[in-house]
Amino acid sequence: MPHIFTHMTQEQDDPIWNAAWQWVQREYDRESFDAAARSEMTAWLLADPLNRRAYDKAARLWLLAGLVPPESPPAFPPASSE
Amino acid sequence: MMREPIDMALPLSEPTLAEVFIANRPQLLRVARRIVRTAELADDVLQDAYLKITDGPCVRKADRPIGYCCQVVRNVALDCCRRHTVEANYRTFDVDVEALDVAGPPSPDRLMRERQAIHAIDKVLAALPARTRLVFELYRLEGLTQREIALRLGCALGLVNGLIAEAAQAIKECGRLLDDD
Repeated sequence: MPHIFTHMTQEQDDPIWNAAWQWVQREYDRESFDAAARSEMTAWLLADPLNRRAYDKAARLWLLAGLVPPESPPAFPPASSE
Repeated sequence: MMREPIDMALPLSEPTLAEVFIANRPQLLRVARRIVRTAELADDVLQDAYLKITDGPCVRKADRPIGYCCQVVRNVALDCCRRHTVEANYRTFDVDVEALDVAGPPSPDRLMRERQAIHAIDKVLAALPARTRLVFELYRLEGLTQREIALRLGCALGLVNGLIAEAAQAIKECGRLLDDD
């Protein structure tokens, strides 16, 4: 696993990766991602092939995060017992 | 098609995830069909989800196999819609979609990187506080909206939003594992 640690600092400071991750998060939030946001995102994707590349990677990572089996018990206590 | 999923050491009496998937295909198809536009796309989604479950980056045993199959189908379907929407929007900007760099079939290297990434994600999620993890699961695995989660847990929307951001930040660090060689 050669690049686990070597790229860590670099990734954290990578503005394209940060923006791509942010876009994937905003896009998934269907309650607030409106047409204006989508067209802003499309413009960003088209501005640079590196943007699209980072976005595709972020979307893959977010999909993988959706494939993890749940750990919390399915019947968690209702809000009233909190 | 009937290969055993990796990392699944189940007793013989218990059906494998692949068997559960096949036995519940009609139900899973309905899950996909509610999300994607055409029956053809729903078939593609099921095929893709099946591969993810059998060949793919499965980390550990799911407590509720059918629930897990639904989760994978739903999230693969949502991802399929997302891709189609991005491409439809490219067309509104007069961009030739054919000219875009489309990902080919996954290479063995890519599958290996995805397995490493999902193991890393599972690990960072396990390290999160229980409440953060629960909110993440409702949002990402069950597909609830932030508002629905706030209602269900009886807490402020801002708190839900903050906990999701916290989980997303932890997952983001696993992205380096997907870097191309």
